[in-house]
Amino acid sequence: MADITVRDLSLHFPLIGADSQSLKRYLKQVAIGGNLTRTDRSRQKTLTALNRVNLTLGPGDRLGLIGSNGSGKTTLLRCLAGAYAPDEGYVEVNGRVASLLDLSMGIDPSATGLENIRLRGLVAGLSSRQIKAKIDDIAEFSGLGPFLAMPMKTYSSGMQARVAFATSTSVEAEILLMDEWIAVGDADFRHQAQARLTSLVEQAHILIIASHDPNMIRSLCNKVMRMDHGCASEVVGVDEMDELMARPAPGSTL
Amino acid sequence: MMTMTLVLGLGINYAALFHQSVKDLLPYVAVGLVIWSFLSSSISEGGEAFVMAGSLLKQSPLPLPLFIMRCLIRNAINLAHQVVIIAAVLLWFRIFPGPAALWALAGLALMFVNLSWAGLLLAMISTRFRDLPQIVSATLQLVFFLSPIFWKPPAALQGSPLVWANPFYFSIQSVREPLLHGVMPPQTLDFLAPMAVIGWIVTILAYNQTRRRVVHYL
Repeated sequence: MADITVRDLSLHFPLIGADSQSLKRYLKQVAIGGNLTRTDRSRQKTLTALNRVNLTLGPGDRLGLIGSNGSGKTTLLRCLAGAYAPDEGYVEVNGRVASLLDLSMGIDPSATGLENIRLRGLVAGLSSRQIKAKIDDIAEFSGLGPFLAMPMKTYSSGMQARVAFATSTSVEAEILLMDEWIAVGDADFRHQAQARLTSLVEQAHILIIASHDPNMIRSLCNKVMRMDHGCASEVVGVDEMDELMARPAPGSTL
Repeated sequence: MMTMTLVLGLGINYAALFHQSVKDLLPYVAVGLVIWSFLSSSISEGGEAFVMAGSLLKQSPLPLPLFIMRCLIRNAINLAHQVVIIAAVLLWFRIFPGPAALWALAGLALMFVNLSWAGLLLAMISTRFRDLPQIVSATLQLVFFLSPIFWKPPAALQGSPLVWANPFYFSIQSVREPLLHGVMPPQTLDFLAPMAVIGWIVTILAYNQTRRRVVHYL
């Protein structure tokens, strides 16, 4: 059974400007002397990307994440995907996770479309036998036909998105993490994609989607959570979304 | 292909320059260059492995060392193709070292162990300091000319650290000597095996400290 428990999750990012990404410069500072280095150290800023987030979800929950840009929606999704380890607090995710956060993830531009489908399938945790069983379906869904034997770098961005989308959505997952409904391809493909995503959402036990579109959240989710400056509101039913938006932001109560 | 032209060019030219016989120098250069190209590209690509895999690391729980392994295996496949050069040169000069040549496999295995910690360590530092890969490739270029890879160390250099404390030279020797002369020089193992152990200890300590941060730096 799929479930997600997040307790007091905090995440702090070190902020590094482009000028402090240089080892040469860093060593020079160290060589120049203690004083300079010390002031520089204390100026090291951190950003609290998530601040004591609590969340409990069980089977059947479809959660919409809302909040302005930079409020921590994607960071929370990445935490749940297992990419970021929590600085404080605790995250437990039971169930097979599929993340549709970035469609260009793990694409090798010089490999062919078919090779990339295989690569992405492996990354998603499929065995090569499972991929072999699915590859015809994926190829057909992408609608690219003979172009799949060409290197990905010769594709238009719409074609690349088709391959990535077709592969990512072919994994049966219990927990589906999605960032924004990514508009891909031409009208024809978008229609197909919509149908496929809807069926994927129905299959998944838990869905978490970050979006700015209230209508989309109303049509897909039964719960919403609002994020602001890394703080999260409590989870409420989707019918209370307007009320949630009208309330002061969760971060401002502190 | 490039390695082959280099082998022929350097092997024949330097034999003339240093007054050595081609039969003597060319096999030495052939093995040296093939192993060097594996070593140097593993190190420079290993150092960039995390930055390259940034989009994957930021949204999946895949373990970091996986990307180093991926890089090493890719380079090992490359190496397997270039082994043809070594085989051709050995055949041409009728060098048959016998079963002791299998020591070369031990040398390769040890090289793999050393490369994996070095790649992991460099890759972690490279995510924080983005100019490290450039520094590494410049350093490798320097090492290539300073190390006895395509020239034999003259007697005058025997006391130099370039010969007795050079991990690159020892790594190459641990494969080259078994192939050309059927012996594994004991001092290479005495150097490389402790280096593997110490290197891994340092890397594991560093890994435990920075593993979580690597994704933030990407």
